[in-house]
Amino acid sequence: MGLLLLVVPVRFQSVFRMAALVVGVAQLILFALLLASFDASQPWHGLEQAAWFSIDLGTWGKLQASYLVAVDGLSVGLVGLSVLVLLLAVVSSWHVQENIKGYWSLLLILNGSIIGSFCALDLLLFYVFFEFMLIPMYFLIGIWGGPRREYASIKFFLYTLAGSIFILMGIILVYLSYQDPTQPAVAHTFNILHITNPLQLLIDSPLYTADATLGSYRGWTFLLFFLGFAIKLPAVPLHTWLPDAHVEAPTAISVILAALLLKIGGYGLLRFVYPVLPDAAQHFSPWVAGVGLLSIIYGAMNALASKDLKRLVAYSSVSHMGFVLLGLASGTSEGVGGAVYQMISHGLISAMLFLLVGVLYDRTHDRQISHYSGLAERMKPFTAFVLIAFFASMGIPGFSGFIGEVMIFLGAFRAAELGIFGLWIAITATTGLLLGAAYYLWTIQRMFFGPFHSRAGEHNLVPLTTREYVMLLPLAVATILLGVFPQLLLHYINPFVQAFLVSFSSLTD
Amino acid sequence: MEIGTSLHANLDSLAHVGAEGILLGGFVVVLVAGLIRSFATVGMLRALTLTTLVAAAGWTAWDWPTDSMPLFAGLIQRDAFGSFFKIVFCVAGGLTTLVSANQQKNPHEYFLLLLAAVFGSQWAVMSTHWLIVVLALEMVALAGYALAGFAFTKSGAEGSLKYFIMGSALTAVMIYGMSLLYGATGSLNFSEAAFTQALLRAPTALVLVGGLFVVGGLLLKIASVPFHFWAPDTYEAAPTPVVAFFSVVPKLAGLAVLVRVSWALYAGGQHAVPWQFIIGLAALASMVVGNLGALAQRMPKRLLAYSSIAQSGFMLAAVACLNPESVDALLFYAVVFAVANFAVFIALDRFEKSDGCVDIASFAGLGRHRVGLALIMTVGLLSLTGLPPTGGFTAKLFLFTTLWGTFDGTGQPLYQLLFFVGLANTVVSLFFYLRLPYLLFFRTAPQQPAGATHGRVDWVLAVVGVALIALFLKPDALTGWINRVTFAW
Repeated sequence: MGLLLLVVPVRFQSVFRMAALVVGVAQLILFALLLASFDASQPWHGLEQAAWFSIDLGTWGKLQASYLVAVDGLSVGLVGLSVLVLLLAVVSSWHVQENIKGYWSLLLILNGSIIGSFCALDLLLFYVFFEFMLIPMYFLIGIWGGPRREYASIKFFLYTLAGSIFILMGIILVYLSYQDPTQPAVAHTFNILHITNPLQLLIDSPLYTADATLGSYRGWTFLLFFLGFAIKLPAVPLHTWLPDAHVEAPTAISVILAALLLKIGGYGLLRFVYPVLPDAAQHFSPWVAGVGLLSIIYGAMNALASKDLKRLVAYSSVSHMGFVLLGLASGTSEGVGGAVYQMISHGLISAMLFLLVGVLYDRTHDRQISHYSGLAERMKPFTAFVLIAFFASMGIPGFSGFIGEVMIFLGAFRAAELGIFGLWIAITATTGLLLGAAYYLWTIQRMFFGPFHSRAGEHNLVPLTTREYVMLLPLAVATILLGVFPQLLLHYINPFVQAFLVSFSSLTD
Repeated sequence: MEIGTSLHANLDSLAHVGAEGILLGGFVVVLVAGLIRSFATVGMLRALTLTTLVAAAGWTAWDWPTDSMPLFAGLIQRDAFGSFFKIVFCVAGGLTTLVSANQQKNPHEYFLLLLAAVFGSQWAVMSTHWLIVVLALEMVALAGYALAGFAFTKSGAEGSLKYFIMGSALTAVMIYGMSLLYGATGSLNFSEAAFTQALLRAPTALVLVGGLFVVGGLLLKIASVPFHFWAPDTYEAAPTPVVAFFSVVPKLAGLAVLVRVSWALYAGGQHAVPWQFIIGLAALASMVVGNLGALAQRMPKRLLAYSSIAQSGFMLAAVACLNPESVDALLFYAVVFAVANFAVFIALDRFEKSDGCVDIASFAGLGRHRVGLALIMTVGLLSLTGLPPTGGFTAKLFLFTTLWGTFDGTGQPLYQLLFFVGLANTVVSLFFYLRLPYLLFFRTAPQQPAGATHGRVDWVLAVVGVALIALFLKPDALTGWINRVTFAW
């Protein structure tokens, strides 16, 4: 299995952008090979394990961690998304001029850590990859970004680092509570396969308590994790780093940020927080749903008020990630499956949206919505792509966004029926869809219809280049494909969701 | 004891201090070589010093003790804990020697003082007797006072004097504390059972005052709050390689002595005075004061001085645990701290020489011209913050796991507090640790820097930088050694 190469690409290279392209294509091929041998009924694929370190702590046994990676139904989709988006990011940044060596090295490091965090099955390894994304992101925004890049990059770094500290606290608590079954009573474990198995919970450890409410260790641990991942996701009110980071970041980095980095927040919750602490998750689910609802509405309202096209797209991300939280909180198979579907679908759509903003910005260096009108007249293919992306993002049937949102709403209403959270949450969340339609349609009306006008002049508005077609077409095709044949993806997601829900149903029994 | 047997015992003990013998021999060789005109070149003296340090480190590694053995009738103790630190000191001394290539002013005295400081620290980490503690630490300190002023500037003299006055005053207090403890216990050897028994019988107030004085003296060596005031001034004025040495060797020597002393005073938790709280309080204060102090600094060396105060706080937190597990975490942290500090200071030294950087603002944009140098400095600073992929992350992880484990074991909220304050401080520290990389890479330089000859990465710096990453990827190499250290009485 070439997964090792998939995870750790060439770190330092001399033929920069070619190397990045080769790595990207190689990853795509490796992923295709992985997919070909993927049997959805089996839990783990491409497992690789190597001891990382082990330190003897006398009477406390051993502190040890390992390099353990594999993919399952949850991560396979996200890894696929990452491979595609990272490859497109390479294509999109083909013409970066400044400090080329640094840019491509950082992009490749980022690539390795993103795929690493989606594959890691060792909590510490996951955390390391998670943290390691910060440093390249910080520099990529801070050096190649827009005018307020310094402010945006430091804000991004501090928010996310604060979040990771919460996650680290949670990880230490989890680590101390679980034993390694191969060395019982000697070693604690970071292994996600072991920590999600309640049999390995140590008696009298911090998490060994039936109490999962606020103030107990289980409650605290859940809140620490939730806080950390909610910053990453981002959920209102911890989202303020996102619009700044997005607006200032170069196009390719915005794409990666929206399509992949935000997903790691949701992924972390699904991968181990919920399975390890199902009781606490259930206890807090009204709050999680509430935060999700707040993100949906507040994100959409802000998008409605945005004057900058990129800011609008950024806030729409906040709104859409709120749906993920709502689906997660429902704890039903529809909701959780929908959350996973929405993450992947949003990855494709937001990548497309940010690429489109980049296309316009490259031509005119102007993103103010009010500075344009009647673009449909001059840039027909561009307008077509924008319409696809907007409609997909709105959740119009036939696009992938629709499937994810419908599943989430099915889950949310069933959860309300089961009394997990109030019906009003589910009902109010639907207005998010309405607001989504409002800001997108209004933008289309303002920018694309009516008499042609562009403040930057019309001579700049050259047609789409081949490179841009290469970037946009796969995303548009994937969005429509997943909207028409959801089974393509559900085939992988469903077994994961069934296994995921076992930990929940065992509670109610 | 009869004179004959004690003489024999002492002669037998001599065989076990070979590394110190090598250092002493090297000291004499450098001393003599400096007097012979044709030998007294910087290169020659440097080579001799380096050979001595490498030989001493090699001897210690070869002659690794498997158990602990009192030597010289209980004056010192030979154990793996001490040997571990001895190797760290020799390596630190060696690195300092390597980067002092253009020490044109009084190279003779410079290298002699360096050797003397290493020699003193080696004795300090082995000492189990108040007398040796004082003698060894004063040997380090005297060499330190002289080295601190080695820039031969007015501010250098001021920094050195400040260090000297505070140092001697606190040493006097420490000796007073020792005399009180001696009065209370009737024993100068604090590792023997008689000391512990007498300590438990002695009046609590007397032990508290005596112990506080001793611990205070050691906190000064560690540059920990409340005796940290000398550090920023001294660091700022001293030559950069000296500061690198300074922030590592005397500090770790002080910490090692503090570990031994606090264990003796703690007496396995039987004593009424809660020493873990006193040390824990110093740890908390150092972390907070160091980090907050660093935020406002404009001079890189002052910033690093405050950073080293904060780092002392983290290491003191491990000392405050007072259990064998925490010693492992401390040893790992100490090594990573030493390596990271050297990476940052060596890079700083290069920047000073190539671009004349004085304050932090003058680093603006240099990262684009001196990529390698700036990169290694960034790795060093990230390691001090505790971010992957550097050894600093692994070290902090061990430390925090130990703190929580100790809390779990003892149930004392002190350790929980140290855990949370430590983590919060990690976020705060990011602010100032990132200042230099931020300026190096994000700003553009006003003009193209002139000196193209300096400012390149040489192998010393490269090795230090790679070591930091290696400590993250393969901490087993170091933990393997640490696992061979069993700290016990």
